[in-house]
Amino acid sequence: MFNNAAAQRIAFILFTLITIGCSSGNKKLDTTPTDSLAISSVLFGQDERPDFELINNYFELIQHSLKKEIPIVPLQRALTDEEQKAQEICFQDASFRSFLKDSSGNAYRNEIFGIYPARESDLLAANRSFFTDGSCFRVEMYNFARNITTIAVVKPATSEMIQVAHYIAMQPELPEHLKNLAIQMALENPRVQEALEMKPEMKDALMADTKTALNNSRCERSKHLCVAPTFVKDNKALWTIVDLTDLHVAGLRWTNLGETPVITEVVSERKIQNESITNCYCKTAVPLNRDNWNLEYMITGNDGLRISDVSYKGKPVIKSAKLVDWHVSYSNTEGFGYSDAVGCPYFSSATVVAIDPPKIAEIIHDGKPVGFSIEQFYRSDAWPSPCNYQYFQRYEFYDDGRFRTAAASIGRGCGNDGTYRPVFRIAFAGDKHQLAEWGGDQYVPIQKEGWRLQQFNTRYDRDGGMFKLGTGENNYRLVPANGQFGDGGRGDNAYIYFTRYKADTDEGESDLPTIGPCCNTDHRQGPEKFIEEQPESLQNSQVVLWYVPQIKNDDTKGKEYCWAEAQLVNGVYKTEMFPCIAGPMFIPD
Amino acid sequence: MMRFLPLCIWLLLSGCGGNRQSDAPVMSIIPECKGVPKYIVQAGFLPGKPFGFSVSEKGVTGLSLIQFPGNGVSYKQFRMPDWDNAGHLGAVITDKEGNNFVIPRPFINTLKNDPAEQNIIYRVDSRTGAMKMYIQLPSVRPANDRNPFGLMGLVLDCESDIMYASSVLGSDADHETGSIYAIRTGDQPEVLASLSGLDAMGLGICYFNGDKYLLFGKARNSEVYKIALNPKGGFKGEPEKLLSLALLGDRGDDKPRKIRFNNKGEMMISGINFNFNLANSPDKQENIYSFQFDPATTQWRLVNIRKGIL
Repeated sequence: MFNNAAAQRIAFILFTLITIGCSSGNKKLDTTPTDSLAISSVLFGQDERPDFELINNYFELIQHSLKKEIPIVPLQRALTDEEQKAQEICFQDASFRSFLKDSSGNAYRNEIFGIYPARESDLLAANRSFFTDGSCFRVEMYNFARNITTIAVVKPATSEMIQVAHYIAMQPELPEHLKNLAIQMALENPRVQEALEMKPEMKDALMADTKTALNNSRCERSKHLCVAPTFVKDNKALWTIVDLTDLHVAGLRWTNLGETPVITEVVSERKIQNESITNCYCKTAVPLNRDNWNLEYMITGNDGLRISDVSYKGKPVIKSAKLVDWHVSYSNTEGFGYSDAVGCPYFSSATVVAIDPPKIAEIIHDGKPVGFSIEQFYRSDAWPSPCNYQYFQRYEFYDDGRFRTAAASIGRGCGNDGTYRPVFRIAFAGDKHQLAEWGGDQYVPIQKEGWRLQQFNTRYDRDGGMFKLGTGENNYRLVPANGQFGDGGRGDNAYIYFTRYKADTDEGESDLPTIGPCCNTDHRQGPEKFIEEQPESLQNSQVVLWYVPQIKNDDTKGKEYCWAEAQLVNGVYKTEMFPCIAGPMFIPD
Repeated sequence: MMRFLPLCIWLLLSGCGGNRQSDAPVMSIIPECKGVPKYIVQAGFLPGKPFGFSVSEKGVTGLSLIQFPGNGVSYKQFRMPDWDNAGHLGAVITDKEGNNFVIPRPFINTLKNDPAEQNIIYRVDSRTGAMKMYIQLPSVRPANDRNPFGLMGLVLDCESDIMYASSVLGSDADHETGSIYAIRTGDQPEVLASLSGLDAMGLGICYFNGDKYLLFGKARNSEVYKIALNPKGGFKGEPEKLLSLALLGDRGDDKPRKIRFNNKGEMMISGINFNFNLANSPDKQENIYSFQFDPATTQWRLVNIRKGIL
């Protein structure tokens, strides 16, 4: 969306281009064709841990190790006496054991990945003399929780620890049993079998050029230990990203091998996430017909998950609804905060991006299905570390015609003094709307554009309604959250704006860039710019609703809100989430 | 002043042209030519003491001049009122006269960086410190709401005073339509040549076997290429891949943000997490990859990776 000045600038740029396009100094490269196999990227959610003997045995081994005083899985192969001694020296060495547990004494998942005869180059210059008089061993250990590799050089003959070093964000060569486990996880995965149109065997994973079944890969966002068992079929290779930290298959993608055939392209977690979400949800709207609802949804560049053309039992209800911005301000520092947009992970103006696909789920109340929801999460890479964020959006559609547009912050942000202000835009179907607000005993028509603040003395009708919108075919009441929705939300304290839809001016119908600054604490959250200076009449007009809850975070133990805490589960970090869900319910009259 | 700095130990040992490997490729760099802005004394900076320009001072939008603390010198920050006119900034380069050239780059959101204005190079005058629009570069396609970025990299050829700028303005997931521009500097800047159809980020210049090359890092993947420059500063031949940052560093998919050479002749590439979005790492987790050219294999060999900002 650009203003007239911007359009003039673009025209100037294009004109300039035509001019310089005629000069001889310009060169145009053949644009790299889009990789046709990008559409083969498939992203898997956090499935259940696969269930087969090899993985179950390994999981038991981990559980057993975590209970030990020295929580290290020893090297999983037969060891010589010297190797056994080398491993034991490491187990007893305090420096080697520096990262075995967290500050509370909870064990990390640690495993010896390799024991090798040391080379002279493995030793620091000051320690080279150890090399000349007897064999030394290099012992490598990996910490799955912290993504740390510890490398020691020991001398079994004299029971000496010669040197120890810890390398953050480094991953050692996999031991044979984990290579086999990764391949087995790929072989057993139904979606791998589906892609290959057969149940592959171990021999199918052997690539001719590398003589190995495993390609190096990365899980850049999760920073987990990942490898890629790869299957060659014709002149293509199927990469399977296996996450050995969480013990699940993260995704799949085909690559071209060409005539040779050799691997020339690396497939990784982020590549699959970016391609899969971009191709499936960021380019075109996805239709959904469920229960009595019909709608389309897509992830936008910077307005979150947008739903459009929503109808209930064949009657149009919503033209479009989306989440324009998240404004985050911190009260302890004047003017400190961020205006975040959420949206697609690749080519977007989003600050916090979608890395999982949308999830559609049944809504169960009192054990009975009452509708369905569409949820979308957005996450910073380093969440829940400080100043990283996770947000989510949820649309709820009920069998009785109610619907809700909701969103939550899941922390953790830059402090415990944060206020989150998500900006929803909701445009109803129909050309002429009648908007009214509850006046205490009846609904009173609203004549002009404006805004209201939901606060302690706000009056609601018997169902909690604050506004009523007539669309011609339907009447809907807007019910702000006051903690009544049973999802842990504590109330919205929302600014609610109503603006007139203008067909000839884009006031948010297309993707909106950030519309407001981080840190205004009053009604100036962005939508007011479509109202001021002269509020227009709403008579015989389409009304657009903007809803901006104000949610304060809390890190008090037991009362956490808009917050997240990392905790160790099975020796690796999982995040406990404390979402602060906000957003209005719309109930039909 | 030496025109070329010898690149590597091998070159030093072989005397930069010894008989034994005289046919082996020789790579050499062009020293930078940063002049000192004339206004720094008026700005209260101590002459001769280390200073630099920053585009990422906490809580500041735009350019800042910083006196680095140490040896009796305290930290000092100086800004002119118009140094935030272009919004948040990306690269800063300095010519031999002490003029700065800066490019806009959105940070977290587009509130201060209109996507349609991201192809403008600004100049900070060495005498007055005033920041003004210097040149607005064309683009193959107009800005779109899926790509908030425009200019990505800048480098100055200190021999020819030609500035090279890379831009991705107008590109989208399916169309790689960015360009690299060769710009004649001076009071009447002019685009001399352009290389379109690629999204590039970091830029560098060096010589191979006496021929001058522009090095560029791709914004869409982790690869670094070179393309020959003709005597007028334009582009000659096809780009040739030099190396890739794929599977290097803690992330493994860094994109080459900046390319510079140190006085040992090592090529230093700043690698960042970049996916054409505004996701931001609060601790600026950049990796600096140092590569050394091996004339025997004509390959660039990784010698070091460290955290930092180039």
